[in-house]
Amino acid sequence: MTQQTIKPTHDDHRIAKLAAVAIILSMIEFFFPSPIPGVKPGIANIITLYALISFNFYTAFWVSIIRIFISSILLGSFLSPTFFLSFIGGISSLLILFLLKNFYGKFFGVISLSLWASFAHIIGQFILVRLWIVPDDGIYTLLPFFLLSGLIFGVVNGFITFLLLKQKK
Amino acid sequence: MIKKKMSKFINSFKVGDVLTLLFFIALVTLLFIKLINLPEGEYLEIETNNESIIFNLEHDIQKKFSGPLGLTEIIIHNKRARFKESPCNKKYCVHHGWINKINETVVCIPNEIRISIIGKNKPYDSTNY
Repeated sequence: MTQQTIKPTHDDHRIAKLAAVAIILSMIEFFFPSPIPGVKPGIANIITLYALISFNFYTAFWVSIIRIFISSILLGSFLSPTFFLSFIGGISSLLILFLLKNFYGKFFGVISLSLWASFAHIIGQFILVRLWIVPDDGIYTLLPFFLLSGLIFGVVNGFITFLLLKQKK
Repeated sequence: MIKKKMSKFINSFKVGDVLTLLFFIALVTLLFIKLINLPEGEYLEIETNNESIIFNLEHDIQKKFSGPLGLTEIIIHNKRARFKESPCNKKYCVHHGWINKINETVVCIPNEIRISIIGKNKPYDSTNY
């Protein structure tokens, strides 16, 4: 008889379920054509936000990291620049969410978390691109366009997360 | 239905949400304004596969530069510069049109020629040495 040495906890099951939903959303997003190259709505981040608000930062962190790794493996971009871009974007958003999570409910609502996370995502990616992929100041021309898309999709994702949280109640 | 939910969403905004939203809208607007009002450059740098030449935008010129495919014609007129003619297939460089703002660059990859506008003091980078 094989003995189970690692007992998955209730938390682990929850993280796995949320990560599965996030991975499916990533896949759906990947197969949708984007009007501007590089601009993506980032609907998988809804799940990260949802996990952070209804559970805790630990859940959100693992959901986000698992989603980034698994969806890149499924799409065949693991360890390619695309993967590192999404990884650095995820880490940056998680960092800002970690800093802001204590203000949630008092000073900030869902939309602020969504907006800050989406902006951190873009800024983190820009720093990586500037340092590594395209070491030229010319890329700053693109910054306003990406930030505008971050603003729009940040609000939209915040709204969807708000609806999700309402439904749960 | 969705309108009701939207108004509920907006009613749930806290002080920080309004401030965050205003901050980001202001930031994006500012960046776009800055992008439109980029300073105009003073010099044009033309880089072919073996040399880099700098021209002053004050003087109109019309010159041909050779690349692997043939001769590319570049003109400077009214403090602006553009690719006039190129032997490449798709002619993206020619269709790009005029450039006159700092850091604006047009590249013709098939014929290996790059032109970019630079300001008064050219900031040095590792490719200068």
